[in-house]
Amino acid sequence: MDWNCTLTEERLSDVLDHTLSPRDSASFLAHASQCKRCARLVAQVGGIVSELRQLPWVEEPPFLSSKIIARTREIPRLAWSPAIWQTRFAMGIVTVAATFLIVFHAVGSGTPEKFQLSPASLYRDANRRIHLTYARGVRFVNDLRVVYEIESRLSSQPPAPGPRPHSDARPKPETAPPADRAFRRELASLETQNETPRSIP
Amino acid sequence: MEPDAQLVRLCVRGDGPSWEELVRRHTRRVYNLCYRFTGNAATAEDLSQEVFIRVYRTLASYQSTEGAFTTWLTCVTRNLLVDHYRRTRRERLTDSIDQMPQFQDRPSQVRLPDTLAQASELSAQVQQALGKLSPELREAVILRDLQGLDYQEIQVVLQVPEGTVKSRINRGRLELARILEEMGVRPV
Ligand SMILES: [Zn+2]
Repeated sequence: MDWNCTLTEERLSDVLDHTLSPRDSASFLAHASQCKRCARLVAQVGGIVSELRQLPWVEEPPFLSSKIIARTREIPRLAWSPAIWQTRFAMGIVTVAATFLIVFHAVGSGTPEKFQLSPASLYRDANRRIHLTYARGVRFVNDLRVVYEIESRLSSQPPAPGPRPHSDARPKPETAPPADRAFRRELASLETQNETPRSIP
Repeated sequence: MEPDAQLVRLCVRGDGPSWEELVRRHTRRVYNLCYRFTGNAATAEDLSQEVFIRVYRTLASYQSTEGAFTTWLTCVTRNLLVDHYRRTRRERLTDSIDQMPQFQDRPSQVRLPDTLAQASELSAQVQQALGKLSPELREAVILRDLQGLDYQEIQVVLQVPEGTVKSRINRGRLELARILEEMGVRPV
């Protein structure tokens, strides 16, 4: 490779950091031995870089660390709350806790009687309890669903007008409008669905 | 000595002494970066405090698997320096050349031995020359030759490709050498 003065400037850091390939390094040396300008440039910049690296660090003002520590002490520790408490993890934690709760409840804490100690009866008992607990859980969730359904339907209704200034306003008749009636029918069907007994194996 | 990553883990669990150790261990590094970039001791002190407050608030986001703590700390410091530079740009533009902040090293009351005195004088001259470099070249030279980061770490801190890092360091060194020569400073 033909080395020239422009290349020396462009690749000066490679020359100083010794990151030139052996071939480029040979080309550079061949050029620098002939070119006073390049030899001087490398010596000058190399000298500056070496001085910079040997410069002692400037001493910080006294008590700077202490001041920093004192200032950060005023910030509540909440700043360090780990990622585990973020919403996306919180849902996972709640789900795992609920699962354990169901399993513990299903297994029960009482001491089994003698005739129940055979593996088959232990399995049957645990299986029955798990299904029972699951069924209760489903029922609870369904109840919640109904409540939520009612709440969301009510909130989607147009807002009721504010109280009138006059007290002679008559109370409205009890008959519900057609849309409201359909909603009540749907609600009743949901409730009866919820009431139907579940078969427990 | 506990490694930084271990101290950070303890800090995040709420261990106060680990935080104090982390601050004491890295104050000088942060202060030097701020001082070399701004050229002003008081500004560097304020900025160092801001850096550690930001670090304190975001410590839980540091992942030791993504690199050394010092690289992460340098990133935080550099971002704050950029913010500071942008914030004060207007003030600098309205300053006349005579009113330019003087790049001073900390004045010493005691008489220094010759080598120390020379180092101190050179330190002040380097500081003056750094102040004449563009911020882009200045930060590249400071990170490489004063803070001792390698090319890969600088790439992480500056968020630019490796070629850009190399080119900035190269141009920064050439420019700095030219300025120092104009000032009559020659390497020993
Ligand atoms: Zn040449």
